[in-house]
Amino acid sequence: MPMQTVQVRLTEEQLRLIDEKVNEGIYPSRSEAIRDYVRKAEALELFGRFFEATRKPAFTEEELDRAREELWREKYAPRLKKQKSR
Amino acid sequence: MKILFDTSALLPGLRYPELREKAIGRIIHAGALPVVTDYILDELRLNIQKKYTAEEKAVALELLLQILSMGVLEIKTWDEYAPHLDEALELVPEKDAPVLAAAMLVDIDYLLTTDKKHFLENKKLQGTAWRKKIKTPREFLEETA
Repeated sequence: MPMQTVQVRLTEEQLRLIDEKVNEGIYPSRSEAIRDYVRKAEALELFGRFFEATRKPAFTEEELDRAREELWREKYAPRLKKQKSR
Repeated sequence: MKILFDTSALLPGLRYPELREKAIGRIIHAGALPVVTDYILDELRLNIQKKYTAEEKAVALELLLQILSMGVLEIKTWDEYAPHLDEALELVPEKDAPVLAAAMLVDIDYLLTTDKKHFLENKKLQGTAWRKKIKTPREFLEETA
């Protein structure tokens, strides 16, 4: 994916933390570290929104069990059977 | 580090629904990778379809799609974990075998689940190497604190 160059202002402490990770070899460059932080922030936001959207109602063990049973019976057990008969 | 999420650790249970968020946060901050399987994704979709209203369903499934398209969640497929199915079938009921089989993959460090009956308190699993990988989200958070 093509990259854009932007100017980012960071505090001394933020830059020190990024450089620490680069010096430890966790990231090859400051840019890579910042890209990874942005990617993680995006992921956390999406997971947070998914969890918020599925906060209620709660699922009981019986409900989860029944759905798993149905899925196994209708899709995956036939797949296993077919695989074993080959 | 790769952490496999069972459906019960991704959907809100009656107890401690907030722990799934803390576990995901810990994993992503640590640079570890959350993992699901095609089986668990199918289950998530099925449970969401069954439980939610049309509007809630649309929002939840759209967000799930966005998460998947971001590539922040590794997906193990049937072909990868099927070689472990026979061993898993000896230890858990048939319908739970695809989950245990995926946890048996060499690159999976933990399986997070809240399923007591078939995983956490399953007597056949006690004392096996696999049982050590199986944690509740709370145990995982305590162990990796």
